[in-house]
Amino acid sequence: MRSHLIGALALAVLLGLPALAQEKPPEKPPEPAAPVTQTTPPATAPAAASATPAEPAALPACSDCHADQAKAFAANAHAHGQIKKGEVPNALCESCHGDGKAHIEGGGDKEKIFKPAGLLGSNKTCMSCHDISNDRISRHAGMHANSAVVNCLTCHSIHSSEAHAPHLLAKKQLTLCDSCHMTQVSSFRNKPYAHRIGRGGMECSSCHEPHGRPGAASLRTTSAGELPCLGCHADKRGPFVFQHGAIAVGDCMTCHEPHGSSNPKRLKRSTVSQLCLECHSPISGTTLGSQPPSFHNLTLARYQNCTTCHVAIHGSNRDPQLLK
Amino acid sequence: MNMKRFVANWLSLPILAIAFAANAQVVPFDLEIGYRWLDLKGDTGMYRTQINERDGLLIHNFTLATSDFEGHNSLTDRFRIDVSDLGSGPAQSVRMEASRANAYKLRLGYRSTDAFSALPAFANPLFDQGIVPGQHTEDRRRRMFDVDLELLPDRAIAPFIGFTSNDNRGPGQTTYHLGQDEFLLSQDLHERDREIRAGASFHFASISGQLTQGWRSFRGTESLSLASGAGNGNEPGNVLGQPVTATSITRTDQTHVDTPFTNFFVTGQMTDRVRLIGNYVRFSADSSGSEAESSAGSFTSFAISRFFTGLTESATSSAKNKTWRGGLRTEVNLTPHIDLLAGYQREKRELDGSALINDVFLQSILFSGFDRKDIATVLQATNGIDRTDEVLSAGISAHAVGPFSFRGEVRESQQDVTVSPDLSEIVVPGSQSGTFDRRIHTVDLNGAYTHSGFMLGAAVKHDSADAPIFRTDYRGRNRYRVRAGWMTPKKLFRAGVTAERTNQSNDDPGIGYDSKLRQYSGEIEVSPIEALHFRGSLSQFRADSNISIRFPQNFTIGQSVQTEDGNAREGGVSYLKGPFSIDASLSRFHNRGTLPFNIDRHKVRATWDFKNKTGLAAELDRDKYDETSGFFSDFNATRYGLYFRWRP
Repeated sequence: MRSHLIGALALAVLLGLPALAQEKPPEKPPEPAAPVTQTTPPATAPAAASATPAEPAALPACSDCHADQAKAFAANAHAHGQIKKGEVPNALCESCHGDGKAHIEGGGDKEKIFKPAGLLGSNKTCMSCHDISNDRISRHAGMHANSAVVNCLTCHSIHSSEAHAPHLLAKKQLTLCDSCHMTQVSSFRNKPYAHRIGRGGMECSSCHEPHGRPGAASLRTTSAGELPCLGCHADKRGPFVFQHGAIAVGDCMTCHEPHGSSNPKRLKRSTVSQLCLECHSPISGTTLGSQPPSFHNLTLARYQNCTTCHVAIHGSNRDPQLLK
Repeated sequence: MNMKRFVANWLSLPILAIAFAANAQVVPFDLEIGYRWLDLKGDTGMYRTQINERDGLLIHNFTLATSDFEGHNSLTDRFRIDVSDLGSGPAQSVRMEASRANAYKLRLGYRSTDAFSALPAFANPLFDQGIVPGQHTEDRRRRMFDVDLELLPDRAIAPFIGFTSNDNRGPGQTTYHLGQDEFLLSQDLHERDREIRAGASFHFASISGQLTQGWRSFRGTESLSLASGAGNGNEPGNVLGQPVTATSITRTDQTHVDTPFTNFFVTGQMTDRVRLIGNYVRFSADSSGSEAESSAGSFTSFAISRFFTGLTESATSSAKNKTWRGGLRTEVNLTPHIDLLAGYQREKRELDGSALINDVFLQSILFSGFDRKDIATVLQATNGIDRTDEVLSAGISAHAVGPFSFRGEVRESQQDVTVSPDLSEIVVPGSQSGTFDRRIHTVDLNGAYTHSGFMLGAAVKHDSADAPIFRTDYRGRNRYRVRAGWMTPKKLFRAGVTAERTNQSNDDPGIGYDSKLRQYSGEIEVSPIEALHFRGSLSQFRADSNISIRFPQNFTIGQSVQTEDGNAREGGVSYLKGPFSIDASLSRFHNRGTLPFNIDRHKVRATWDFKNKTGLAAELDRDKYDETSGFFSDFNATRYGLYFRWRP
C-alpha cells in the first residue's frame, strides 16, 4: 500500500510537471471588477477602489436605489477603508457585482448586473481574496471546497446575514450545519447528554474548522496542536505518571461520544463496567490492556460501576490503579 | 449570580460598548434582557445534569456592531460585541472584536459553562438500596477568557500576542477506596490554566505562514475530606473479622504542569499551479505533583497482608510529555477545479513519569499465616509510553466539474506504540506492556451531483487494519452515507434525507467485535407565504455492538451487548408578520435500547414590538424526561422567560 501511495505521489508530481512548464490557462475574465481587498492598504488599493475619484459624475450612486443595502453595508467588514463621506462608493459595489453602468443605464435591469450566487459567484468574488490554505485549512480543496453543492454563499450572506451570528453567516450556525449534517445535529438536539451547542457558549465551529481539510484536519486544535476537547478540559491533558492507555494510545473518542449521547458522561456504553471490560478482558493476550481485573463480582452494583473506585480514570500521579 | 452582582458586572458591558461606539457611523444594536422562571418537578440532579437553566436575570441576546471607516473615532473603526445568555444561563458567552484598518485587530472572548452532575445511577454502588443521587457529583463552573491582539494586520509581517485563561472550580463528592471499603469524600477543586502566546504572521510574495510560541501553565488543587456521617463506608460488615471504618480522611493533591509550545506553518505558492504547505508543532509538558494524606480508623489491606489503624502518605511525582508533529503537503492545481493532493505527516509522542510514594501504615498487624508482600514496587514507579504515528495520503479533488463534485483519497496510517509499565501495575503478567503496531489503509470517496435545486451526494469510506492495539479496535470498517435534497427556487419547499451506516468488526479469536450503526434522517420545510414557515423532521438511529468479554467473578466468557434504538420526531411552525412573530416546536425522542428513555420537548417563543424600537419576547421551554426502567431520574421542567427587547 505504501508503495502505491508513493507511486500516487510521484504521479501527482509528474502530472503537475507539465503544468509547471506552462502558464496557467487564462480563465474567462470575471464579471466583477478587481476586488477591493481588506488585505491591501488604501494607498495601494486595486484599481476599482482607487478609480472612485474618476467615476463619471453622470452616473447615479448605487445607494440611490439600494439605500437599505448601502446603509447596512457600511457596517460590513468588506467596507473597511472604502466608505467616502458616509457614502458607499460605486466602486465598492462593483468589486463584487461588476461594472454597473449597463445596469444603471438600463433603468435597473437585473439582467445587466452580476449577482454573485452559487459556485460561480463564490469563485469570482469571495475566492479572489479568501483563497487561503495552510496545514489545516483549505478554502480551495478542503471539506467544504467551493462546489455546486456547497460554496461560500451557501453559508455566508454578504447583505442579509443573521444579526446574532458573526462572520456574515446567513443563519445561526446550528441551523446552517443542520441542513446537511442532520444526524449529528439531531444528536445534539435530542439526546440527553450533549454539549450545549447553539444555547450560548459553544457552536459547531468550536471544535470543527468549517474550511478544514478532510479527516482529522477538519478538527480545530489547541495552540499546541492537541484535540479540541483539551482546549476546555485542560485537566485531562496530563501528563500523568499513571496514564490510562485508552487516552495515551487512543484519544477521548475511545470512550466518549463527542456530540450527543444516550449514556451518562457521554460514554459509549450505558454501564461503566461494560465499557471497561470490552478492553480489559483476558481472552486473548495480544492486545494492550487486556489483563484481567482482580476479583470483581459484576453481579453487585458496586462493581458494575468501575469508576466508583477507579475515580482517576483519565490518569493519576498517585495511584497505579487510578484509585485517586 | 445575584441580581446586584449581575447588574454591576454585566450591565457595564453594553454601557461601555455604547460609549465606545459613540462616534460611530452605523450602530446596529439589539438587546434582549429579562427574567427566566423555572418550574421543576422530579429529579433535580438529573435536570441540572442535562439542562441546568435556572431562575434569574438574563441578557438573552445583545449585539452591537459599529463601524467608523472615516476616522471619527481614532481608537477603532470597527467594533462588534455579541452576548448570549449572560446571567443565570448555564452557558454564557461574550465576544468582542475591535479593529482599526492597518493598525490592529483585537478579539476578546469570555465563556462560562456550568458543569453539574448528580446522576442517580451513575457510579452509584448504593443504587440498589434506593439511595440517590450517586456519590460522584460535581457542581463546577468553568470560566474561559481569551484575548488576541494582532498588530499591523495584512502587512508583510504582522505580530500578535494572545492570552487564554481557563478556570474550573467548585465543590463535588467522590469516593475513595481504602482499607477494603470505599468512603464518601467531600471535594473542593480549583484548576487554573493560563496560556500566553506570541508570534507573527508573514507574507512575502508567494510565501506566507505563521509562527507561534506559547507557554502554558496549569495549576490544580484538590482538597478532600471524609464526608459527614460517611465513616462506616459503603460496605456493611467486617473483613476477616475486623470492622472497616474511618474516623477521618483528609487529602490534598497539587499538580503543576508547565508546557512551552511552538506552532509553525508555511504555505508556498511555488507556481500558479503548485502549492506546498509545511507544518510543525512541538510541545513539552512537564508535570510535577504532590500529595499529602492522613487517614485514621480501622482498615484492611490484602496487598500487604495487614490490618492497620491509620495511614499517612506523601507522594511526589513528575511526568513528561514530549510531542512533535511535522508534515508536508502539496496541492497541484491541474485545472481550476481539479486538484491533486498529497501529504505526509509524522507525530512522535514520548510520555514518561515516576512517583515516589511514602506510606506509613500506623499500628499495622500482619494477617496470620500470610507472607509479607514487598511494597517496594508501590513506592516507586516509572512508566513510559512511546507513540509514533505516520500518515501518508494522496488524493484528487474535483470540486466543480459541471454539476458534479468528487473527492477521493487513499491514506496509510502507521501507529507504533511501546508501553513500559511499572511492575506495580501488573495484576497478571502479560498484555500490560510491550510493542504494538497497527497499520490502517483507508480509501475515502465522496461525490455529489446537483441540478435545478436537486442534490444527491454519496460517500464511502473503507478502512482496513492489519492488527488491533486495543480489543475494541476494528480490523475492518465501512462507512456509507447518502444524502439527497431538493429545494424549489424561491424556497417554497425544501426536503432532505440522509442515511448513514457504519459497520466495524474484528473477527480475531477471543474478541469477536462487531458494531453496526445506522442513522436515517429526513426533514421537510414548507413556506407557503414568506411570513409562514412549517418544518418537520424524523430521524431514526440504531446502534448494535457486540464483543466477547470475560467476567472477572467466575472467568466465564460472555457477550457485552449494547443496543440503542431510537427515533426523534420534530415539528414546528414560525410566523413573522409586522410587529409579531411566533416560533413553536415540539419534539419527542424515544430510545428503546439498553438504557430506554423518552424525552419530550416543547418550545414556544413569541415577540411583539409594541413600538418601532422596543418590544417584548416571551419564551416557554418544557423538557420532560422519563426513563422507562425506573423513576429516580425522571423530571418535568418548564421554563418561562419574559424579555424586554430594545433595538434603537
